[in-house]
Amino acid sequence: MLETDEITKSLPPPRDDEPASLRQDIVDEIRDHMQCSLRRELLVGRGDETQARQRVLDRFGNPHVVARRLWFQAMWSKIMTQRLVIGSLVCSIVVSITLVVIVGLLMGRMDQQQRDQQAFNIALIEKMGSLMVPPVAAAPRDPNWNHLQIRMTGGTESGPPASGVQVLVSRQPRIGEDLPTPSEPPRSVIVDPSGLADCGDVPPGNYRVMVVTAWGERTNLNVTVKPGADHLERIIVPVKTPAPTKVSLQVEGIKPGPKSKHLLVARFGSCDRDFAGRSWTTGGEIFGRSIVLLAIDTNRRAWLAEIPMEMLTDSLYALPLPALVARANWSPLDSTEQISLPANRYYLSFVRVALNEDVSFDSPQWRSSIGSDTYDMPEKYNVGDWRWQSFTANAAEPNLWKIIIPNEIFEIDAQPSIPGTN
Amino acid sequence: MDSRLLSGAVEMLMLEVISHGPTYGYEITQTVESRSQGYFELKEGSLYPALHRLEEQKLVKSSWQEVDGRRRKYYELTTAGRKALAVKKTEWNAFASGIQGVLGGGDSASLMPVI
Repeated sequence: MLETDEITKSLPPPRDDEPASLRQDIVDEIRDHMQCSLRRELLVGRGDETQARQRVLDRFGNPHVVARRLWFQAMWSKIMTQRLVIGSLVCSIVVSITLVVIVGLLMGRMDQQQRDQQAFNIALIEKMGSLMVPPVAAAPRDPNWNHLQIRMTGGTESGPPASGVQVLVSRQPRIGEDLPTPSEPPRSVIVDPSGLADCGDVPPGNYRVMVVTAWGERTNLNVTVKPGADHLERIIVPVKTPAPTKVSLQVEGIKPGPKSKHLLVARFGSCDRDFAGRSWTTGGEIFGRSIVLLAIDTNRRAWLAEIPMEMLTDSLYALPLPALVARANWSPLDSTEQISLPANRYYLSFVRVALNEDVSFDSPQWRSSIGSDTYDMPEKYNVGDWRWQSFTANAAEPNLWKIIIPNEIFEIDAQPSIPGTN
Repeated sequence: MDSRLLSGAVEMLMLEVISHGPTYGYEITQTVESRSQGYFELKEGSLYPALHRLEEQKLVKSSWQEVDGRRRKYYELTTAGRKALAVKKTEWNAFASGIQGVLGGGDSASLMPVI
């Protein structure tokens, strides 16, 4: 009675969010209804089939309209949701554009106000300046004072300006003069982008100049400012920290003994390097905020330990420092193991430590006694004489440090022992 | 009959017909028409939208069956539909009773305002 395509064509174009069977369901339901209705009309027997069809259509109404209505009813919520989303999006865009325009207008107005304010301030300052009493002329420069400047280049004499380097200038006492006085602290100057440290006018005399790089490496030089002559000093500063290099340790000169309660302990003291004719040092601590200890026992075994500075105070810096190092912090070095160090010259301070009794080196009471007057190290240790020896770690590897220990250093009469390791 | 009176009752009539068992659109129109002795004549233009609306409201549920080589959509009442029908019938009975009470010339004293 009614072709499927005929009703389908009357429906709106398909949508992506439309259920797959929606169109067919609508068509089938309408078609079933009209078939039932037609059969009844034919059964009743009023007129022929054409008249029956017409009566069915008259009664049913326009099936295309009904189909469209059912389709819209099914899709209504999705269509409205989509329209709401699109509407919200459009509103958001409109609001955003409006806000941008408003902010732009406000910023433009503020900018204009700022320019007006600046112009007003300049005019006011000029007006006030014209009303002010002319300033008194600056005090004449002391004719005996001279300008002290230090020009710095990085790497070589023709290198780039070493800007950012710190310069500390302090006047040295003359004979019979007490300096520095509290009123004359070291003058601190930062090298400007052109590589110049302008220390200003200074009285003639001897000055100690300390140059400190950004990573803390420093050098000292003495400068003499003569009366009636400005002074310009030129310094070449390193441009980077010393390159890391490998060092092997070799312990010689002592025969392994059966028993000993002695240790040869060395602290990595100050280190320096020669650069452009000057000695540059990083100070006492080569590893920043920690100190490094080297211990050698009577079996020629070497041990390393690194101690954070915050564990120690200056007053407790003296040996026997190993007592402050927990057992777990000592790392044994075998004969093939290498230490990584910046390429520098190192000064190792050795001392012989004799353990008078067995001590638990990581016991809490030792830690808690740090900084107190009850620190009773001397009762447990005998500390021998200090000796120091210099070693050099060159950038060109290999570096072999031979530590030669005279036999008389240790009395070989006790079991070899690193504190807490046996 | 005034369509305004009928419109509120159409859904109730449809739910009532469907409550007797699964049925389909054409059968619903015929049942309503025969039970009302030809007084109510449901137009298909409003029948199917109303059926689909009841389906959306979960008052009826539908299923398809093959009959005489055609697909036919059957409707049956849900639990919510039964409850809704009971409510509508109660409301309608109260409404009809009230109307009948007025039109039938009941106790006029009960209509006197209370002072």
